Amino acid sequence: MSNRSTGRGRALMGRGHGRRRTVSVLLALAALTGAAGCSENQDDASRLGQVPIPSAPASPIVPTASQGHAQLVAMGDAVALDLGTGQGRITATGPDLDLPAPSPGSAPPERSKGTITVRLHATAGSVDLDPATFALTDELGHAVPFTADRPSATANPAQDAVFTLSAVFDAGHSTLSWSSAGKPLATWDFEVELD
Amino acid sequence: MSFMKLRGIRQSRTSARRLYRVAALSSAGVLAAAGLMASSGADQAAASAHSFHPPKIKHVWLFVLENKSYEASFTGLNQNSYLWKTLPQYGELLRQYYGTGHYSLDNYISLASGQAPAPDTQADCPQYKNVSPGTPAADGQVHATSGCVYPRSVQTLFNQLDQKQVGWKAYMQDMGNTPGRENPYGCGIPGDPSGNGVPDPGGATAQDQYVAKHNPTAWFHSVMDNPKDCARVAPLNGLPASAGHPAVSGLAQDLKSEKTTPAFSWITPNNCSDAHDSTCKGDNGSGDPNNHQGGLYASDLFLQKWIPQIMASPAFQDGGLIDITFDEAFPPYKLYGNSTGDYTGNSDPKLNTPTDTAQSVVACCNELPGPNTSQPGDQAFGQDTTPGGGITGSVLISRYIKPGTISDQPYNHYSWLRSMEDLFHITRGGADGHGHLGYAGTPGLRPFGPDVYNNPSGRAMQPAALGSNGVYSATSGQPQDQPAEIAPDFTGASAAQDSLKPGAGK
Repeated sequence: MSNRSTGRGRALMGRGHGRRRTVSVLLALAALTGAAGCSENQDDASRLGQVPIPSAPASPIVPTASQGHAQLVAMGDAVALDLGTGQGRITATGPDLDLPAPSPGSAPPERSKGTITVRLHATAGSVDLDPATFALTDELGHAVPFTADRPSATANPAQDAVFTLSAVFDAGHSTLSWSSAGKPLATWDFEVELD
Repeated sequence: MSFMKLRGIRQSRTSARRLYRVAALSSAGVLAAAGLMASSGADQAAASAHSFHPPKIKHVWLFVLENKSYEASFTGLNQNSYLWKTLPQYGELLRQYYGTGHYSLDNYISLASGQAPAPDTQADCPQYKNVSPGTPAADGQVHATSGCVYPRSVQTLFNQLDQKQVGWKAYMQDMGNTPGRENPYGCGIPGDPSGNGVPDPGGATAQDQYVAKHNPTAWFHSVMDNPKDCARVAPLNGLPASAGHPAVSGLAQDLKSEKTTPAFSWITPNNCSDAHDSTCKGDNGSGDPNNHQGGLYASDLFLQKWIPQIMASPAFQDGGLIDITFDEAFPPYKLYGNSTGDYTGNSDPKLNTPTDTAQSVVACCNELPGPNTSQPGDQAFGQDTTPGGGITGSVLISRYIKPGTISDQPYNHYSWLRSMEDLFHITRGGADGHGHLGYAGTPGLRPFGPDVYNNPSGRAMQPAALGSNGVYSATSGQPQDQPAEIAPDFTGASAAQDSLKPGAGK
């Protein structure tokens, strides 16, 4: 009786059946409230399903170019080669731009010197690489003059052929194309950023 | 760091819903009793025009990439297949999303604060110094004749989220890699902007490709002077504990549970992974130390790494929204048509021809130039004397967005800011008194509407078939001629209101 007569506030602080009963009631209420809360607050994934997730490609797909079957890729991508006399892989990277430091009050430059590096790795046979078989084109379709750091080279499994092509690039979209026997084999797309 | 502050927004939503129900019932009862249901006329029309409510998105991740036009990113010119092909299969492509200026920094400023471009922000702030005079101008703008660090009076989305007790974080890849170059515990600022400030704060290095001009928190005293805010600006991969500083968690760690995931996350990749540098100064994320290829090649690598991680997180699955956008559009943007009255003042006469890279449509949404420049677009790339940063496009992914859809509704950075403010129920203050900062408060500016949130049930849907929505048919027709599943036809003076009516996007 004494426990009952202690009132709610004291029951929490007291001892014995009264406290236990009060605590039990509170726990039951909490459980009910919690259950209701769970149902209301169930996350979207449980109620509405898991949103499918796009996976990244396990490994980059390297397209193969052969005579009459050219490939278009992004700058930096490799193109596998099957040229009859040789097989290999060619990659173009860049442009590595020679940007001046910004000057206060001036807009970014409209063009910049830069270099593109072309590397040909032969896995079988030999493959010739001649800078004259490359073409740089700006987004208006104009040819972009360039110079190469060497006249020509032949790649074989023991020796890569590497060129550096230097040019002045306008801001915007450009392409680098490589042809063999007058027919395109690979084209790399890229954007020139000058800000 | 716990982001349980989200509870606040949920409570306010619940309270708002309760109030709405009570108000609706009361109104209906009173109107019915008085027999006046048909007499509310114009008021009802006005109310229904604004009756669209965005879905219950609880977490947002914004990726800001660099300097690419819609054509460069979404038509196959660069073979960046993850952004171009894969991600639009899982979400929506906004084909008419616009930057607000040239060059980079002014766009970040617009996104964060609704401030219009100013001369030094257009020039990417060659001298990191305070805005002058910094006095108030109309429409929530400030006068910024020079300088680019805004006074404390200029509020940002980050301040608004603080005031709503909504958790946010800004992740800056590489920030703090080189000690002393920028302050990773101080919002990534490159130094003291007072007086003559800091010369040339931009430019990546091989070890540290963070650039301050792509960090929106480093340009506002209202954020950078508040240590609590700067504690929310973290390197993408976090920081270990150091003398006087506890460890700072990075994005991957924060994604592990919903409690540690901020409601709003701004993600700035470094100057390589955001597609800015064509050849990166340092690592491009490929794992090959000799591979420094940048551009959209590098941003694809970045997105391939982070988008699946975010989408696999409990926070994303529980009502998340990913937004991948660009700050501004660099050429080419010819597919939207050349102007017939191109700018003819270019120093290079080759650009002053009818076939140049200019276009007449480089801005949208009635973008105003603001008080500091008449040319937000800086007449970059020979463009016309119109404002804007060109069409970049954006991809949004959420369970509340149907996979593989397209919207041709024009949006720009100010629309984006308004959309975020609405999404997080920011309804007070701002330029319009309704929670919209600067030009985000422009009357009639349309936030993301039912054309974007076109799966209101939120029920998970499978990705669309590759190429099923015509996104990549750049070679078969002009973008404006390609079919858009969601192509609202809202024109005229009431366009902004009409487009928000229930069902308008269907």
